[in-house]
Amino acid sequence: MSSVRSRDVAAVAPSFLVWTGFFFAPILYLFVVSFWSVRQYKLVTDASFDNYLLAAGEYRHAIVFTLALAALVGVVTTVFAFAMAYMIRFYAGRFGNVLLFIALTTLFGGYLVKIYAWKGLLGSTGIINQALLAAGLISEPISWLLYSPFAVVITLVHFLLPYALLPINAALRGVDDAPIEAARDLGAPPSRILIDVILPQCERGILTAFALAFFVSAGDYVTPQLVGGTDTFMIGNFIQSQFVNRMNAPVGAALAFATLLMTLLVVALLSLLYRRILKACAT
Amino acid sequence: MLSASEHTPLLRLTGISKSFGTQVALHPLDLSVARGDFVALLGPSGCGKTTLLRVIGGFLRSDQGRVEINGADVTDLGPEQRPTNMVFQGYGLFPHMTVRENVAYGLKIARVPAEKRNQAVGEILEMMHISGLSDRLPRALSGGQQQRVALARALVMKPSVLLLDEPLAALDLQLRKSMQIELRNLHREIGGTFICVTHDQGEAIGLANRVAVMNAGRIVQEGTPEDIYQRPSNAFVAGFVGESNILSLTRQSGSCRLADNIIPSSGPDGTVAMMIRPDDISLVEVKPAAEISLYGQLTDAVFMGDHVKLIVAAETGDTLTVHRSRQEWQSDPLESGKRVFASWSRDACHILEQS
Amino acid sequence: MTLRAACWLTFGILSAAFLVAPLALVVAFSFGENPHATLPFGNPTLQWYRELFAGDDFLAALQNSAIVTSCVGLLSAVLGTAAAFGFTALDRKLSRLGAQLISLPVMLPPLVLALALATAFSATRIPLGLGTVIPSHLIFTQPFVILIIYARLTAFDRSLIDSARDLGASSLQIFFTITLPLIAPSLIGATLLSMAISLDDFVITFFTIGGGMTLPTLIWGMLRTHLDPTINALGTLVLVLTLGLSVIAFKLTRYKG
Repeated sequence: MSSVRSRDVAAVAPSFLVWTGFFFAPILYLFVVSFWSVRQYKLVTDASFDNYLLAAGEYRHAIVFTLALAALVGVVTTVFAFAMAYMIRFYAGRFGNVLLFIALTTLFGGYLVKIYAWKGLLGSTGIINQALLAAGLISEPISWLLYSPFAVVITLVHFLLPYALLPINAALRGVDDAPIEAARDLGAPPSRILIDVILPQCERGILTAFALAFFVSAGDYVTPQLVGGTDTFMIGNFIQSQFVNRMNAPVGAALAFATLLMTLLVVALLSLLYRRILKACAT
Repeated sequence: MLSASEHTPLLRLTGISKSFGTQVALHPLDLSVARGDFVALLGPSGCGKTTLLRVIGGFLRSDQGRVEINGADVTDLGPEQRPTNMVFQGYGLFPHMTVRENVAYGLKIARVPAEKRNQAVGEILEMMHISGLSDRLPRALSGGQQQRVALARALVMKPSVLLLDEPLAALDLQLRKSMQIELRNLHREIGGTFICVTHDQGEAIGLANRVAVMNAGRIVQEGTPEDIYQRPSNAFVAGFVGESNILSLTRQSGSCRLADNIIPSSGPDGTVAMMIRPDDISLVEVKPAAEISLYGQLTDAVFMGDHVKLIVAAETGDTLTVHRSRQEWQSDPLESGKRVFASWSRDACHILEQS
Repeated sequence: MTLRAACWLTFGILSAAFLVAPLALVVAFSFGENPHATLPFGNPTLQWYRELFAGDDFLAALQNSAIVTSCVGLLSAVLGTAAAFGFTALDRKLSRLGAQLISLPVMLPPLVLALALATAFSATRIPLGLGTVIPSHLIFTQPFVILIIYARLTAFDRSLIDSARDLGASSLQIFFTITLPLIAPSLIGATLLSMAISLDDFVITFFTIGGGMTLPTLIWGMLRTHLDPTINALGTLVLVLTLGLSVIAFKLTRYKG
């Protein structure tokens, strides 16, 4: 048997070599760098928590703002995706396959295109304002559509919706008809069936969808930079600028890891509370 | 004059055992199969019958023991080197190959020249009545047709032993019945040696000329279908093959007592079981002198189609199942609750040693 | 149809529009004379495509993207398939842990990954270029190939392998006549998917390519400098390529969500 094993290990080895060399080692290195400092544009080996203190001090507002915005995107995306998946599961029939097909095809393509498409849509001369003006609903363009937190949220929701739809759809498809029909038979209204029967069975799918949307939003810097304007500086922008403009990798790294830690905490907390929130809704 | 090979069994297993981790799948067992036999390995799921079949086919190495085919030791050979071929439970047809390509696969691997190959494939397709399907893909075939392709694919290799793993399990009842007859005819026609695994006693009895009943990793009885049905050697076989009534008795100095009947039975003192087939019992109102009988009450009569199943609660506390033919029942029905004697001849009872 | 069902259907149509409309507009603008992203589109024209294809930047970016995408696709396919075969044969717990580890790069925000790679490349003085972009893409494309092929292999009917052995085939013969033909659709699908992901990547590429450009970094450059109307043509091109690859990939792997 040992010869078989070594052959199987050899088959896995190349993938893991690439993984170690281009993922594990660089991330580990970045983590180490987060405790270093920079003097005269040169990295200095150090072992201090100064960078993290900076993250907890000067950058606290940026981190909190980012987490709040990412959580908002996460919630909106998850609810939106759940509604779509619910519609696909219970009402759509064949149209559901069309929706899923759209979500799947737009999943892995056009990241930048999606962002600048919204830039064109939301601008003061953009199509949305044009349409609202033409309809006579507004007399002058709405200026806060673009270069605002609103623009960041809608762009990210659009980008993340397919990612959130797939796990929730899979979870909802796994919910049997029989318990739902039993609940109806016992006189439960749709809202109770949702809370008592469906949502508890979709825990994994919903949490996965939220975590995906939340993580990606919290780490994104392209969207706020392109459609967020000057008010919507997210932590990704600070991290990016620490590296690119200030050449201060240690501070950037510390900001990245601090944010990562916070996002993990939020998701862990949410998964702990999921059942309790449902229970609270039920009573 | 018979040649030597016709005296030695075609397949001989000696001391075969197999464990998976701590789970013993096969206790050391022996089995001989003569040329031309159709052997059924019969037993409940988990009894080790499929493991045994896979050991014979070479898909599993036994922990101990020898596998000989045609007198040659094949214990260490893989399935690709053994003169056996298998019809798999789900048929294992290659979904990306047509029927013809499926059947030709083994010959192609063996580098049989195209002309010979095509001829052999054509013949076997003809024989299995699937010539018309030769260009179809397996997914375009019905279950019965897939079954034929799987048989053709194995038989075209002219195996010394054809192994069949639950060959009829995936078919519906009607098809199963007709396929069963066809398998028998096929076996007779080509005169090969077949070993078939099944959990269905009716199938085993209907198909095979020898049945090996397996339980918990052992062969508990081997013999002709008649042997197995009429002379089960223990309570497990009696219970597994056909319906039976099994009564627990105590044997003391060469005889057993059942109510006021005394049945002679040689053997050591202790608890034994008595097996009576339901169709060997008759229900009468007067106690017959020469037969064994129990007094009791008819509690239920269940119409089963071709026969009626009667349940009798005996005074001894035992419950007996009795079969009566439909005609018999219709001409002379009994009311539920009626008190009757359930009686049977001495020939009809089989004393089984507790194992 | 009940009122409730009608409401849900309307919602479904609106959400489909929400997903598609922004992309459809980019495509529409790329074929209209109007150089601004406003209505009306103007007369149909291929002017923007002509201008785009005349640019040296575009041709260089296209070439780089082609190199990166095909290398990443090929390498992901080979590494991912090998790893998936290994995982199928290895102990269940071990392979699950392995699959989770190897999928970590997909979970991490691309920015963190990009900065880690850029920092590590600069520390080890590895010169940036396509040679650094390709392995950097590999770490987040190979998990998809591994997961798809692994799923295909675990669903693989063992009795086919047994049948082939029973009929005398060797391991190598079984691989080429049975296994490979049967997993081919998944393998090609997984490869195309990894190509779509690689072709679309902006963040990792931006930080690991150094001076060069790929199609997404070219879009970025256009966005940063001025509103160049050829951007719609370029965007449409990237969309068609990535979505096209995705569509074929999902058709081949028969993944329907």
